[in-house]
Amino acid sequence: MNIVQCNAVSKSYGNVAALDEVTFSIKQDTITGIIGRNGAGKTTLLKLIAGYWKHSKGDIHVFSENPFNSLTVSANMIYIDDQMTFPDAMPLHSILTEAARFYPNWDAKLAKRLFDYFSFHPNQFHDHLSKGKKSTFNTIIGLASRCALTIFDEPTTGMDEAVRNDFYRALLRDYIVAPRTILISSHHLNEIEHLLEDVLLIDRGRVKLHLSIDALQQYAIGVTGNQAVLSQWANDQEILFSKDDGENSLFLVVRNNVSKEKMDQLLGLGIKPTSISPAELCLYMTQLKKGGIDDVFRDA
Amino acid sequence: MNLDINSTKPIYIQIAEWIENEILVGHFKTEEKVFSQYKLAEVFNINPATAAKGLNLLSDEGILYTKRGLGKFVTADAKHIIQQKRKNGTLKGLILDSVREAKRLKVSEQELMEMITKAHKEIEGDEA
Amino acid sequence: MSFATPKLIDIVKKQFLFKWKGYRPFFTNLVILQAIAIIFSLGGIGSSSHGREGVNVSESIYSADFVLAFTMLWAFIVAILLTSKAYREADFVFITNRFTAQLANVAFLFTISVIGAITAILSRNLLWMITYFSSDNITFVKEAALHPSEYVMGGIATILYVFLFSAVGYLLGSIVQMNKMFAFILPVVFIALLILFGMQEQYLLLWLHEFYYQEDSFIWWFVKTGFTATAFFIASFYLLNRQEVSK
Repeated sequence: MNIVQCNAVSKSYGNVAALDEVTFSIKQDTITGIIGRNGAGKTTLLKLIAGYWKHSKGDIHVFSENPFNSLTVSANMIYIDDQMTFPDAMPLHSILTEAARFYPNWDAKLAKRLFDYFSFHPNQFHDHLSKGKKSTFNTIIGLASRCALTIFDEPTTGMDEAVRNDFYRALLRDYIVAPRTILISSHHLNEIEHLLEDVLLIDRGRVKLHLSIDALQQYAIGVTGNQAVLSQWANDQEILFSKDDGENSLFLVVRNNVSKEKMDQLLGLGIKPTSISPAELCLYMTQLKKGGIDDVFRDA
Repeated sequence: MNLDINSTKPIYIQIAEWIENEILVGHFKTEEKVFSQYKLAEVFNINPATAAKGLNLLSDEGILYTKRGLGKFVTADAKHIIQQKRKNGTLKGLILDSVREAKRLKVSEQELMEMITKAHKEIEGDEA
Repeated sequence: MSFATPKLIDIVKKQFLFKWKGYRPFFTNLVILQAIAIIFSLGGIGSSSHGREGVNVSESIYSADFVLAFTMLWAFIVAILLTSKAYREADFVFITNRFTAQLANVAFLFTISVIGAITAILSRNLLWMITYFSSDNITFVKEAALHPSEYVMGGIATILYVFLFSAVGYLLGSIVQMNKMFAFILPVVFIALLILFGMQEQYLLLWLHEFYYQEDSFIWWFVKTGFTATAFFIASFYLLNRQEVSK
């Protein structure tokens, strides 16, 4: 069953399209990483799914309902980011009590244990917490609420590395105990790839890839070699990224569907393909210019 | 236990190889149950679906078999299959590399064969 | 995992309690405002003195009107705050849609109107006590004794007035949320209207005064005021219901 279904969904502000005809679906009880660069449209997409924002065109269904203004979607969904605001006068312990009142699947034991583990004080105020501590507290709510659809939008903002790893581990362990659909956005794919089943790569408002993490791992290969020779070899290949590596040397990322013949040809040239990690691939596939930042410094 | 996230091998293959190693050294014996996908996920800190892929890979290769509702178990042939697979895989790869290198260096097939025979003798001599 | 289909009324209740617990500081503000109003009222709102044959009589009229006015202003401001971005975002932290959030707001505003009105009425007694203990030789002349039903009607009337002011605040706040420009336009228009009507013998204000304040029939007054408040809230619902929760 699909928990989220988007068909040609667009969201625009005036003439600027934040999302441009996005189509994909999210299977139930999977952890999907929403990956993309700053401003790619990750947050916009997640807010549409959460029902906070209204899409401009297309069809969006969450639990088979249009999420905007839907009470059913809200009741089965929680959205965690670093912008969460609570009433000023509410100390942390009452925020947890309130959350428990709202969410039927709330796991009070888990909340309490995480709360103590991360050494929060019950009478602290959310507003007085540091950035990283705020994020940590918000993720406790995200985990303990055990919502059928749990959305984490850049949940680790400000957290130090140890806390980030603790959070990822807690997320995984709780997911094993209580499987649910989790969307987690990040620009640090390498930090979260082990958690993920699927990756949705967004670039400039469009879906660039939607694959399982394993497929992504084998999606592309990197080859480095003499510019003339390599471009000749690659002219019938699907090139995902190319970069001049200085003196006559060329680095190419190509789809990992090279025929045996072509591969033998390559190996015959003394070029050994390297593997491209999912994080690298996502980076290469979302370069603004084919040559990267070096293009800016290149003389016309 | 840690996996090499930066390794060129997909995680599910690393999982499969870990189970194979455990079978080879006898930690998982014939007709014994191996870790479930959830146990693997917890131990290796990975997504359970990825762990399941590793297990399924081994099932497809006849190293594990499924008992309905009970989990995955080690087949009688498991050790043998793993040994054969590794022979074919690793060794064949090395030989292919040698042939390619020979080609680049304009070493003829006959010359290469002679080199191999020579290497064989050298190693056997060492062992004797 | 099963998908809960929530009952609207349950969510409204939860949202209401959430606000009730979270927005306690509003009541601290109320206490401070009413205290200030009482201090203002201590001088009396009107006085006269006359002496004859060596006896000097001074009359002061004390009234809790100040307290009531401050309470209305308080409800007005609380209502505007509830429509602001920060407060709406706090609604959406937990389960809600726009409709339940608004219903909970109305319930909250009604509750604070009741509390504001009752404390305002009680402050009249406090005012009497303070003046009693702070001066010698004083004789109280109370208003003519009221029938208990008149007390009840007075109470309801006060609550409804405070509630009406909160409804006005809520509507204005909602309009400003539609476009921040209104935050500048509305006060300017308001002042312009005051000047305009000041020149034209305040027809509108007079009419408002007659329509609401001078209505003789309590039932009619109740219907008019209640209807106005409801209309304001419905208009606000319409405006806010289309708003995205901007974070």
